[in-house]
Amino acid sequence: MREKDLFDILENAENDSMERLIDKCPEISDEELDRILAMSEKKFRKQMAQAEGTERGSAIKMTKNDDVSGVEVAKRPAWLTPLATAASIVLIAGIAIGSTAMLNRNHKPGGGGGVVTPAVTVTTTSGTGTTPSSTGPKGSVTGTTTTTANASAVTSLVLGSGDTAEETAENALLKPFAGTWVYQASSGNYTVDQGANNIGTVEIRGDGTYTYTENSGNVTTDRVERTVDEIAGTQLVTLVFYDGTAIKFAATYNEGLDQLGIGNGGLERLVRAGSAEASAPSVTASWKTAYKQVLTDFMNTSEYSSESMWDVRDIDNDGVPELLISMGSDHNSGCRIYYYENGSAKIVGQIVIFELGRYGTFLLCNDENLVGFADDDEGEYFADYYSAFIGEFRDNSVQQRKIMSKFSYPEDPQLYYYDVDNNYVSEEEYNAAANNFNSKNWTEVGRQYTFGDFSPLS
Amino acid sequence: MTSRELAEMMQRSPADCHKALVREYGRYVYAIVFNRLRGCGTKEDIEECVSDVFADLFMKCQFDLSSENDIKSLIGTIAQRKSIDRFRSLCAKSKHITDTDDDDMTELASDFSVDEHVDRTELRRVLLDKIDELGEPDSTILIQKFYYNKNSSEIASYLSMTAVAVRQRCSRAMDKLRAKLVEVGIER
Repeated sequence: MREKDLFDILENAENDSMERLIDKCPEISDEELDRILAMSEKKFRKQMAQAEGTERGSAIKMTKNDDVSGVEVAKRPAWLTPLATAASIVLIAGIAIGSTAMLNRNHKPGGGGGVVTPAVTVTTTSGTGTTPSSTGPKGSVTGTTTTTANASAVTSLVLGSGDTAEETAENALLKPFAGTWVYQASSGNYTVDQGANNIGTVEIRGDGTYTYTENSGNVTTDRVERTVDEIAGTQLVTLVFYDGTAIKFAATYNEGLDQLGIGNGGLERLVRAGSAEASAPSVTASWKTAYKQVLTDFMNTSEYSSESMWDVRDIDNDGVPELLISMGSDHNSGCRIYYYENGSAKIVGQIVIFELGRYGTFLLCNDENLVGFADDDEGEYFADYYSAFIGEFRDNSVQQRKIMSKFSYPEDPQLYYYDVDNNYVSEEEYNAAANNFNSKNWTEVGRQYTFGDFSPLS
Repeated sequence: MTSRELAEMMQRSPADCHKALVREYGRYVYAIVFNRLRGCGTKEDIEECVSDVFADLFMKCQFDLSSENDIKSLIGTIAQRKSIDRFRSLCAKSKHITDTDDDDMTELASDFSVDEHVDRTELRRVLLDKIDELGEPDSTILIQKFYYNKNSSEIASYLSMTAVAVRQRCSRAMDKLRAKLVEVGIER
């Protein structure tokens, strides 16, 4: 008989059977309960809103003498009021802005009246020609000067004569940042300070302009502005680099350092040309930096404990070792395995088991790329228990080769059961599998280094 | 939790009261809803129905709590009714509006040689008795594995055992259960 069909009988249970099934119901995780609570609250609020709507709707009372009292409540879409309010605000703001723009037309603030000189690109092309040097009374040429020059192009953004004192002051604040900066981007799955590539240079000028020259040859020249934000009482200086009306990138000043951080993730930055970070060659991504990042991240998780340890072993003999994190030293703790690929560390997935081993270690047989572990903890449910696992580490995953066990129950401790690859087998077949396991050249791995000792990765 | 305790909690903080109800009775409601929707609903359908039950319960707490002394009975009743509603709705969606008991009995008859006088309720009682006779942890392993559809790792975590041990005990326990059912005339 199929188990599924048999247990289907338990559906639609009456009270006493239901109570027995409730007793054996698995625990529901906090995450699931939170999800259910959120859904319930949402439905509850909706029902409450409907209930209140019904009360309003029943505000009209009619007596048996056909006297009608109360106020009829008209139902309109809930979004109508906020939409009408928003439309009114937009209309009023539009009129105000339009009026101001009209009044200020051809005027500079403060009554300066100067002409705005736009940012321009001046291209001067010279060639060879004849210029009259003097002209006689009848227009005859008395002498000529011949000039020859090469073509030249000058691109600049010039502040106009109408520049305000405020703009000039802003540019003065930019002066400390003037100079050449190196644009660095992280070279892998870690922050830029741990491994980076120089991908271009940025020239910041004191007149509020910059030129960003990428290694690919792209050049961007436009304006740069300095802004100051106050976050939680701390002033944050940011330089905003524009490309036309769009923001090309924004860099935040790290006080005391010749560095400007780009973005929140620490993946890009500007470092001043000539500083230690910039003059050093680009840091090359390596398994060491990637694994160090994994270990640092792990230390910030709730899974980390004083019992956690780590190790590096080249399990598949490919020249790049794998990182092993031992979750603890108790019976149920195993190791997580990470491998290095394309510049970053990746975890070995749950092919057979998520964590490999017992007591925070597992067995490694480097000669054959094999991993394994043995377990002899009978716990409270077995009179005697022993199991062993052999897997092959291939294509960055653990693939089961053989799993065997031998056990007896407390009700009859002398009666042993033998199992190989989840099939009951004879004692001889089990012994053959166990002898094969024991013949391997195993080394126990996983708990070589403590967290904080990252010297093998430096 | 009595209705008086609940009312006091509602007065202090409705949000905390809702949270406490879900924490205390979430598993209870889930088991009831699961029992009805196991054969026709997905995990999402079951969670949706459980949240319906609690939304109704919150409404009840908001407006009419005084008449109820046993909050567990109230929750059980709401859960039964809501799960039946959801069951009908799901059956209607899949165009399978039929009497499930009759359907199940037909299926049952095809799978088992059951004494014709043994009705479904009795069969359920016998099955649960035989499972209980296996003792712990085998009975919990079988119910969670084949009724609640949990995998060995999840059961292992619940029972503080290893997944390998759960698989072995499960296999052995199922053999024993089959033998016990054959003894009472329930066999293929």
